[in-house]
Amino acid sequence: MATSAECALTVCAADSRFVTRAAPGASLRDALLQERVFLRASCSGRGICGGCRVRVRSGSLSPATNAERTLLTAALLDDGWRLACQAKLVDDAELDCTDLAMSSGWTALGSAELPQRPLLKATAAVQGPPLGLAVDLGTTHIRVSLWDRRNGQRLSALTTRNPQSGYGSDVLSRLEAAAGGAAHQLSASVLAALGSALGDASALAFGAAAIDHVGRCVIVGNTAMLLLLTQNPSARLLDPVNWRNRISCQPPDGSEWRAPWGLPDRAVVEIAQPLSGFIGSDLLACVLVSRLMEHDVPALLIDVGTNTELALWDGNRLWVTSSPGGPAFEGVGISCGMAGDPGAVYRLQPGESGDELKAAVIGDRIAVGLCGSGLVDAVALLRARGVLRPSGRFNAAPRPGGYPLKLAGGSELSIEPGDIDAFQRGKAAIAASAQALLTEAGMRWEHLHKLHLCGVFGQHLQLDNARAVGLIPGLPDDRVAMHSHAALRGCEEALLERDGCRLLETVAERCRPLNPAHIEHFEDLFIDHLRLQPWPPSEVN
Amino acid sequence: MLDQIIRDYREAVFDTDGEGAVAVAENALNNGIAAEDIVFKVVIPVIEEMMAVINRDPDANLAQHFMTAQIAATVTEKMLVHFRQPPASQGKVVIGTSAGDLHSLGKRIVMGCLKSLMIEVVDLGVNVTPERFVDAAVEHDAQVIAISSMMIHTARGENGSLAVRRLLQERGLESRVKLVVGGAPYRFDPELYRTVGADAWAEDGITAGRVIQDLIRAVTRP
Repeated sequence: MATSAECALTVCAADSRFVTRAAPGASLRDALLQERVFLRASCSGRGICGGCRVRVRSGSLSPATNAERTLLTAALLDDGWRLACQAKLVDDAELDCTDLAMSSGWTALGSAELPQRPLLKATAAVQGPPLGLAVDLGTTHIRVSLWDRRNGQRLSALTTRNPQSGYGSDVLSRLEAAAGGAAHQLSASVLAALGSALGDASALAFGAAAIDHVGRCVIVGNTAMLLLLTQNPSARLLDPVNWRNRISCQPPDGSEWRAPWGLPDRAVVEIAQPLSGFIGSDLLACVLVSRLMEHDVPALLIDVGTNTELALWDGNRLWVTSSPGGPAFEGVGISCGMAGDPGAVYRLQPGESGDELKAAVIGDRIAVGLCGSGLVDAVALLRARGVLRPSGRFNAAPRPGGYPLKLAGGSELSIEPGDIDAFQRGKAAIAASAQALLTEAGMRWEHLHKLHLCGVFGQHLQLDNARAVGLIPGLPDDRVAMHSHAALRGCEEALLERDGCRLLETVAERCRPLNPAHIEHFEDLFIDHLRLQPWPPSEVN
Repeated sequence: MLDQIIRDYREAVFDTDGEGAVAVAENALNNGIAAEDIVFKVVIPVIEEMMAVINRDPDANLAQHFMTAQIAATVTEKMLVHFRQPPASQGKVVIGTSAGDLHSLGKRIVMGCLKSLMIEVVDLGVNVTPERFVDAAVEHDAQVIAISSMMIHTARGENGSLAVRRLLQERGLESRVKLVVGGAPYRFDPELYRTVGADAWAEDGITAGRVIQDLIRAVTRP
């Protein structure tokens, strides 16, 4: 029982907590606002949008309002969920903000998917202000994490949609938009997003003052994203002459970025340099985290995203290429698709009865759509039930609006023929690139000791389904490793090492880039892999 | 017997089962059906039917489109070996992607359809300069130059169709060589082909086959 006039509100984020005090009767939203924690709310706190929901671990709050009973299910209320704008402090309370939606659109990255510490030890002597920010600048998503570089502790991790998505979902349309005069806006939108991420991440960790302690920021990303960020003449990437060359993407000197971000003058912003026009430093970061090159056995790494990048280690050289498979696995361009946000179905399994399916949903909420791994499961299950043919055609044309996926518990999603098409082209592009790398290195997929999967699937991919539809080769489970947020984690290693970007350079030095446009028979491989069937055994010459 | 073959072949193509389609054709050959009949009475009618189905479908499945064209090209190629005399060429096309453009899938599909229509194809590959297009057309005595561009700047740019048109004018080849274009930018703007000086454009592989057939006839007619 608190005896003072004020209530103590303890806020627990991914890997940190802080305590704020507010008068009894203050809403959770107001209490958080005074710590500059801006919850997502499109109704300005009037109990209409439901965006500011938070989970109360313990403590004493006002009873649920009508607004909360309307916007939250009984099950959610029982589980401690409240709307921050409605729930008022009566006494001390503790909030769980690991799934917090920030006003900027940044949400917390699930701590379950991020190992607590990097594999490397933090260097003892940290120069400059002690905190550091790691950034994985993806085409569809941006992920950041804030670190205390002195003790190697992650303070918070956040993700959001890349705001450039408004200029086009794929790399090519963004480059064309930049060449067409939008270069400044494209760069500014990401800079603004990173600025608010810094604010949110440091507010979540320590309260508002922490941003003054950020001394280093390291950014990894694909080449196009880094070019657009630094406003390099991005037309260069549209010219194939530059694809093979290393392209320098340097941040501007001085305070051009630091000042708007609120970083101290001594802070250093580093961009991990891309390998070539089509291989970014995000792939190098994934290679670092997977420890691909530390064993002398053949292994393949696939970083699945809008622009999928692949690396094949033959024990001596690293063959790398990229595959423009499109954003299907990120939920873009799929009628029932969504990112791996709360409400996304990440796993589907056959249900108890009939054609019902058991769905696992991120955040234990009502199913809203399918994220990448859920889409793989849906296609594989429909294929196994004979609803889909190997060609990708439905056995019987589905009703308008799509084929229903009936989920246990009564909800329903639906999947359309166009979704299957996008899925087929996405998985065929990845499989064809992987096959092309193997051929170039003189190897067969059966020889792979390990397949490392990074990127959008996180830990959730059901491997038997991925094999059945031919997304990955037919390696047994114990030869497949899944790494969540690998590019971000590789970036974190670079952040915590004093000469961190040098680590990524050592990976780059072993690379043999294979230009996807110069792969012989790529189209044959692509078309061969369009069918929904397992990889065929390699032909032995 | 031919009806049964058509049914079996259609089913295999409908299911994009390439191996099955090849097996049906080879079986027919072993049973004494002429390779010419297999191509002209089975392969071509079925691919036209399939493409019509796919084109009518509001959710046109590109994956099925690619696989269907590939099967037609594969089976035709296998049957051509068994023709009693070399097939009469229906004409000749030089094809490539425009300078600066390395996207070759669309070109690939068009080539498959052209081959199954007995049109000879000279593939110049990707990133082809305007001079190479025109020189190759003259060297191979082709009636049509086909340029695939997947990006707006390579479709509209100074090193694509516009430059080829200028060269055809300068060298007085316009009555002998026709120019056709294709690729995503032309779908977004169906009038773009005129802007870039082309004689025609095509939306997909099978349409390209027909459009190019028409252009060849326009050139060869006295």
